[in-house]
Amino acid sequence: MKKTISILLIGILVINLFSSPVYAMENNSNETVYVDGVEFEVSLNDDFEIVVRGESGDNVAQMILESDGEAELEIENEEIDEDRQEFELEINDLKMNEVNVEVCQDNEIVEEYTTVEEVFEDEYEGQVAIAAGGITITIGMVLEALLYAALAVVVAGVVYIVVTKFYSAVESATAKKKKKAKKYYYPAYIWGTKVAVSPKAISKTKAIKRVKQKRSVYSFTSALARSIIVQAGYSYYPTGSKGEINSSKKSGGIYLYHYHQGTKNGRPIHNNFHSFYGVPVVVK
Amino acid sequence: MMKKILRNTLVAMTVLSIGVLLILQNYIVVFSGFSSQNDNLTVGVIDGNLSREHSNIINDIELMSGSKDKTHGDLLLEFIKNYDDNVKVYYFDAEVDGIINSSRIIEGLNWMLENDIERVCISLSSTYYSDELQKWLKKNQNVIKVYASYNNVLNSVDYPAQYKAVIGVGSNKEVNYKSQDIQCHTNSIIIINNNMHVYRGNSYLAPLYMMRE
Repeated sequence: MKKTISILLIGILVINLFSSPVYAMENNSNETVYVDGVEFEVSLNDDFEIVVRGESGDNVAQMILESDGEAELEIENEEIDEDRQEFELEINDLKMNEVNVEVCQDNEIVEEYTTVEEVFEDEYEGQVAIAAGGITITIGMVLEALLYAALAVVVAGVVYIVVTKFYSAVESATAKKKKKAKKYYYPAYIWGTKVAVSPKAISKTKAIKRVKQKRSVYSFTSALARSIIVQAGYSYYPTGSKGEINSSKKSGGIYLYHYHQGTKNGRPIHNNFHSFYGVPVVVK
Repeated sequence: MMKKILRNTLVAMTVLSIGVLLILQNYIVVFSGFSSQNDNLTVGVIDGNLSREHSNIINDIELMSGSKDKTHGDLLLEFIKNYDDNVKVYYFDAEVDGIINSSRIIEGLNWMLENDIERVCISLSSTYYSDELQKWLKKNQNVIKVYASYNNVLNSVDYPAQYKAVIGVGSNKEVNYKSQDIQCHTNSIIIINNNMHVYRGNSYLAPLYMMRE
């Protein structure tokens, strides 16, 4: 009996040694997320577009999302040359509580996601066996990866990128691109405790129009941030050359210096636009 | 002659020691007779269909013969039976039309609560976050302990294991474990009772730690 057990145990050991799963995680500035065991990298490219790339065995998927919510998605099986599919996505909204995505192939709508439940299905499964080889990557998995990464949000067809990532991307761009980027204004969106900005630059005229519509704007300097408030015909708060920051009031998040519209009595008008500027402050 | 016996004994002991070390490194070994601390252990399991008619309160787990017809729930019950032959299991079949969703999990948990079950395991996973389920778990965390396995494949979002007030049990190193979670060095388990039973997969980790408490 003992001999049988020993032989069995040694046999199991040998099998186990050759079949143990190995996991590795790259240590870089991109966001790495996992969906059903598939590793996705979510990053910003030189044109400030969002790139979502996932690989599983011979299956590769890559989506490039432009600032207006238009995206191109390629899903291919590298083992089979002809097994390559291309999709065009129109992402109008992509948040944890709101989804509106249209998927087209050869100019025909092939899939629509209009609720969060269609991306994240309220469905539980028993833990599956570790898949040998590649897992088929689906459109839903790519969208889940983008949502998990929490690097960007799409609101009314505008892509807003977490300001820390956008700021880093501008700082690491070529000198020419960086200089140009810092002259402009960018639509801003308050996303929970974070601030996100659209990478699509807007002119000063459009930025002024935006604050008049009580919508927030981001720029790189305090002078730029103040000037649009003044040219919109308002006074700004606080009145000095340095804006205010709310980082000390909250426990964690990403904060930016900003100006509010001021009243005649030198008080801020809250629940209005923010004119954000400068280096993001991360509070952990 | 004596020298030869000694040398062979030494070799045999070395091989055995290495074998034991490798087993402990690659497996969680459970000796069934020594593991049960409680003669009247009662636990809860929420999972899908079983392959046979069953009562929701299972005093004597009937093991299924053969392997191809076994469901995920069958395998969990078989594991629990092999771990402790005297256990009483409250089993909630949460599957409706082939689907288990958050509202059925909540129904199952409420049923466990009504029956005064203090430990429940859920070896299921989803990427869907239910605010209602999270609230239920936080509200009842002092009354009922919920153990949930992380998925075998890595997921950045993995519920119910990631819910607050749930004890998530997993074996992947990359999982962002909560403070109360249990990270195992492996998901391969050997249960030794009269026979030896080998199980692989995270599904068995939640019932293992629920029983082990």
